Amino acid sequence: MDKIWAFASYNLWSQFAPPVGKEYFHCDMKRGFARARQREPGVAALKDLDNTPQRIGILAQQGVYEFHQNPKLFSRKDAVEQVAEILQLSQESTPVQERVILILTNYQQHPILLGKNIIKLNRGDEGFPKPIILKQGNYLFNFFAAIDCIFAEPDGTIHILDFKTGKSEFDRRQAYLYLLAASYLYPSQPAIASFYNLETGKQSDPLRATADTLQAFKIEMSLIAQRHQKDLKRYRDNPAEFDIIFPPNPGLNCSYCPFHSICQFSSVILEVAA
Amino acid sequence: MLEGLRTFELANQTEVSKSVKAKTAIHEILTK
Repeated sequence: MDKIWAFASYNLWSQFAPPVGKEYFHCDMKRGFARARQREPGVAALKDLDNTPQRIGILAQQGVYEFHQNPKLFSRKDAVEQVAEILQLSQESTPVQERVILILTNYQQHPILLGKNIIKLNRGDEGFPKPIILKQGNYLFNFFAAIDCIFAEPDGTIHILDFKTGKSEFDRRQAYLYLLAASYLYPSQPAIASFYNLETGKQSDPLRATADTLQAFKIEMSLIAQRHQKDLKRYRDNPAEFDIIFPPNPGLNCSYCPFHSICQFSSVILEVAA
Repeated sequence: MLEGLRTFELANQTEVSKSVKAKTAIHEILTK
C-alpha cells in the first residue's frame, strides 16, 4: 500500500480551531509555523524549545508511571524523593522542580490508578503513537491518538484517562477522539473517557459516545486531514502567500506563542538591547 | 457519461451534506 501522508489528531484539530469559547485566542499562522515551516532552522529552534508547562506535563506523566512500576513506593516516606531522583528532577529549572514535587506528593496521597486493572500506562516520552488508519468515503488518512492511560472498569468497560497539569480546562473534543480511537482498538468493548488534573486533583465526569457521535468526529477528522494537506500544498506552491494561507490573529495570544519573535504580525514588543 | 457525472455530483453532495451534519452535531455536543 502507498504511504499515507494525510493525518489528523487532536493536536492538529486544536491548531485549526480552539475549544468552544476560546476563539479569540486562535491563530492560523501559528499552525503555519508549526506545520508548514517547521524544518526552517529558525522555526525548528523555537518549536523544539521545551517550555515549562510541557516539561511539567511530561515529568508528571513519567512520575505516575514510575509509581506504578514499583507500587511499594506508595507506602514509602521517601517515595517522592525516590521518584524525583529517577526523573533526574534536579536537572530541571526551579519552577519545574517545585511543581513536579507537588504533583508527585499529590499522587502519592491520591493515587487515582492504584488498584485499577491497568491495560496500558504510557511514560509520556514514547513519541508518536502508532497511527490508526481511517477511511472516510474514499479518503484514507492516519489518525493519531496519544493515550496516557487505559484501564478496565470492573464491568469490562474500557476507561481512557488523560492526565492534565496546569490550569487549562478540559477540552471534550480530545475525549471524544479517544473514544473514536477506542472504537477501533477495542471494537467489542464499551468505552468511556475522562480527564484528571494531577496538580489540582480535579476530575471530569466520564464521557461516552454513540456510534453516530463517533461517526461525526471521524468525518471531522477526515476534513481536518484534507484541509491540512491542501494548506501544505498551497504553501509549497506559493511560499510568498504564507500569511494568506495561514492568516495571523495578533493579540494577547502572541505572548504565549513560541513563534512571536519571528512573526512579523506579533503584538509582542521585543526588547532591544541598548 | 452524463449519468457518471450525475453520480459524481451526487456523491460530492452527499459528502458535503455529511460534513455539514457532522459539524452541526459536534457543535451541539460540545455546547450542550
